[in-house]
Amino acid sequence: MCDTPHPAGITECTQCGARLLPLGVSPSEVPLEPLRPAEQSTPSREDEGAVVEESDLGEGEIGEDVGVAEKVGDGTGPPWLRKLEATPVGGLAEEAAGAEKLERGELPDWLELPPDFDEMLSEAALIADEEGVAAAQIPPWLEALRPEPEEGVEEPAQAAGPTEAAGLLRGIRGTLGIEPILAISRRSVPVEPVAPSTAAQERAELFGAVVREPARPGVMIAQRRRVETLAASSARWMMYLILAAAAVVPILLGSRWSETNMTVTGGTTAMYEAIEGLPQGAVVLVSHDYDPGVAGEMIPQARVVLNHLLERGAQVISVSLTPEGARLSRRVLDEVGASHGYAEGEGYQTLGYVVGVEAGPRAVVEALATAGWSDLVGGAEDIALIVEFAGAPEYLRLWLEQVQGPYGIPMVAGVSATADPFARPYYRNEASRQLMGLMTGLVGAAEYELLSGEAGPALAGMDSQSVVHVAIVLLILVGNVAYFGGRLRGRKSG
Amino acid sequence: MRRIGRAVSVGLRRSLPMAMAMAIGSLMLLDFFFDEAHINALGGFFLESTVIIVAFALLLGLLNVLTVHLRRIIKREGGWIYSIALVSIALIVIIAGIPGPESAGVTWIFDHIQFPLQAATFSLLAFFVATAAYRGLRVRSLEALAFVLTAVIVLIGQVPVGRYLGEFVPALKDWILNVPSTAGVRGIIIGVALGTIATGVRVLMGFDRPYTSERDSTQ
Amino acid sequence: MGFLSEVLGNLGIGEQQALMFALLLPFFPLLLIVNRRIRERGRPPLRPIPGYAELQEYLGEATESGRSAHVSMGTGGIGTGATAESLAALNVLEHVAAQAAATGLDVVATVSDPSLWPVAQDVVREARVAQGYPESNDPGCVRFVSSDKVAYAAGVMDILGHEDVSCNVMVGSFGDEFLLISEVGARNGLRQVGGTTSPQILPFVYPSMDQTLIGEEIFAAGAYLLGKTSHLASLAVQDWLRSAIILTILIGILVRSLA
Repeated sequence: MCDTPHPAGITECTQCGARLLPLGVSPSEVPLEPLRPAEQSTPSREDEGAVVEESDLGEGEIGEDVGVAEKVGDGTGPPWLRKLEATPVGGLAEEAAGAEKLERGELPDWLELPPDFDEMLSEAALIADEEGVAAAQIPPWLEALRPEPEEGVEEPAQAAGPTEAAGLLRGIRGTLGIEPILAISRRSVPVEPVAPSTAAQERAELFGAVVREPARPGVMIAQRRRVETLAASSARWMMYLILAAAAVVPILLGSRWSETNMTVTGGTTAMYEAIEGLPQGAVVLVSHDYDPGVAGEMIPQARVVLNHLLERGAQVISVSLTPEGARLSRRVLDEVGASHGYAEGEGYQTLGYVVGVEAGPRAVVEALATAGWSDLVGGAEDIALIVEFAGAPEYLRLWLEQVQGPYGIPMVAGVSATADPFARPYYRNEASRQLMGLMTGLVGAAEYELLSGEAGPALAGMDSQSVVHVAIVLLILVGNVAYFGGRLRGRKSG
Repeated sequence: MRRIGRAVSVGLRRSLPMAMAMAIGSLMLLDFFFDEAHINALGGFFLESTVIIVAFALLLGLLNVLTVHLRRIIKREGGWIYSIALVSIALIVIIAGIPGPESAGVTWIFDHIQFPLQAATFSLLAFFVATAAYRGLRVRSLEALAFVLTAVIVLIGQVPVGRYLGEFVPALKDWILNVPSTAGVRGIIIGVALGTIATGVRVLMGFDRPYTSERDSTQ
Repeated sequence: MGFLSEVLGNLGIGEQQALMFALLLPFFPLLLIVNRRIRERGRPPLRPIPGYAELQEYLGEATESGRSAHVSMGTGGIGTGATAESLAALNVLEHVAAQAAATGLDVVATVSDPSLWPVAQDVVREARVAQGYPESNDPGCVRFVSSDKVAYAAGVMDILGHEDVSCNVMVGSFGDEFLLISEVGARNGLRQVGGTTSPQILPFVYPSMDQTLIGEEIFAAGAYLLGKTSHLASLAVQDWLRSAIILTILIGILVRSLA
């Protein structure tokens, strides 16, 4: 049976030729009708509106109206049918042609039961009982599965399945029952939970974050930014003007209040004393490691210290780990040297920029000792003091790690204000005393000028710096007042 | 044969960079700790090679800058006028530097253009610090209160005005800088050192391979 | 101790270097052991770092608004003293690039050291390839601005001020130029996450950033953002060694106080 649907009224399947019955009618109720493929005329239309299509359905096509009966009789039937028609069947065809036409519900002779069928059945049963007719044979391996019944012994429970109760396989376990299998409902197998991968989790979280965010139209964003910019820029420009005034006004007024009210910190004092204690003609290695960004506070430091060194008669060798530092220090050296009547090579030497920052300090000392970079130095022990001007803490760390530690040369440092927190532990380290003195920022330079007794640009800028610091503190306080005022207003209105 | 070649190529692409990185990294580490002539020589060679490679990387960067800005000029994207200025000035400085880094042209450019520009840009820091302090130093919590108080004390104690207000101000400032600030900085430095060591060890052991593409990594 | 010093001296190792060696050596076996343990037992719990958690929100906002995200990788590079910070910045860029490739977010990454530029480009390109969008890779999204710090700051200030950026991430080695960049970002209302290892720059980070990564937290990016096993393992090893250092300090204090 090919399960091809057909409209009502069609009695034969157009695909496989099987006999078709109306739904609800069992095959035993409907008598068989002989197939008449060659003589069958076009099926008549039934009340249910069966549609006959004159299409060849033998190729597997199904027309729009399902179950279309094919038109037969004129050689246009399905190919299997045409083959059958073409194949000579000898006497069979003649017999079929000569066979009596059966009425509806009438069985053919060969299917009809003989009148004495019941008697024959009962006689056969008696004969089988009397003569012991052998049961139908089953293969020996299957026979071996039949258990031997033992009295008083319970068969252990086996998971082989039900035991057949009747028929040839009676007593044998594990046979396949048809009905139970068809009747058993399939139980769903629980699926093990799958842990999502990290990437999938992240994508899911991102998706969730994106979905949770409220939609904001672009136009609204642009408008909000513009309003904030106007208000914020007014406040910002006010702050800039206040700061500019704080920086410029004391300089314009020529205020010198700080000179009389300034104290000197211990670090600057220690640095001054370290240089003050140098013998005449001591070789001092000075490194200028800063860039123009912090030159505003480093150059006053360099100027006042170099001045002190040349006053003490020290032999200064100047190097730099940054190209900008080399250029900036050259200008300072030339100025200070000229003020003491020195030219290049007389009281000081400039070795310039040392390539390779990471290994620079060690390379400098080794080159001075072995490569003859300077006639003043025959070895590292000839260097009496190292003065490091560090705009950033990494330069200070390099000199400490590569020179001060391994060679044990005394070292003092002037650092920018932002590098002070990093440099301070080295000065406070009383155990190893890595730094003998520490000067910080423009304030350190001003303190050094005070100690030296020579007022310079650092001291002149102290009043300005003081006013700027006070202005920043006031801005912090105003900012907090505005913040708390806003919170109070929010609470009252809320 | 082609399959074998492809397998060898893939294997080399994955393992060769890692093997080189591990070998050279280990050598540089040994050079730092041990003082032996051959190791020192090899370490010095690789250091010099790094300087040369970084110099060529600088050329790559310069090409990238010129490419980005030339594209902006050609497509007339926003600010293309400034891109013309950048490209022109870059070419002028390159040409001026041909005689050498200490040439008159480069020295003039540094003294009259680069140094004033850098100093002026960094001078903006003062104003930006003020606006950042106004906006950011708000007492939202106890920690923020400690931050604000510390900032105020150090700002005032750092300048002569602090001493004028009282002897305790510079003394308190010194104590803050010498004790809690130094302690905090030391703690951060120790943590950063551990993190730096961990990063280096991961690269040395091949766990991190920034020199290969992600699909070759087994992480 | 004298004998040990003599032995070390014969090997060419100074006392300071010996201490460094003693700190470095345990890292190798511990990292192997902990890495294997994490693979077997799973990811250990991590304390929340708000900077990394909020970064996801900021990237989401940038995606929603259709604007771009900017990643500044600092003024260090590969092969300099700031190599570790630069590698940490690469981890952050890798995460941002992956999110951007998945969601269509535009990313602009700026570098100051030319040695970092090709590596950053490769990271962004690989993220797009991994998401299946190799054709969307724009080589111009990673920009080498300048090797000079001030010029780099000026270039990034221009990007933040004039390009349509919503989120600014600044992780790596920075100097004073950090405040120049972050202040422009704050002025333009950008959502900012930043961190650096320099203690002198951290006071600039706190008032100008929405979220701060302090010191070594930037080295945890690979563990928090990318979930890499080796990064988780190295975090654990760092914690153990940190505990050992704290214990040594406390013992030293006791010994010095009692002596």
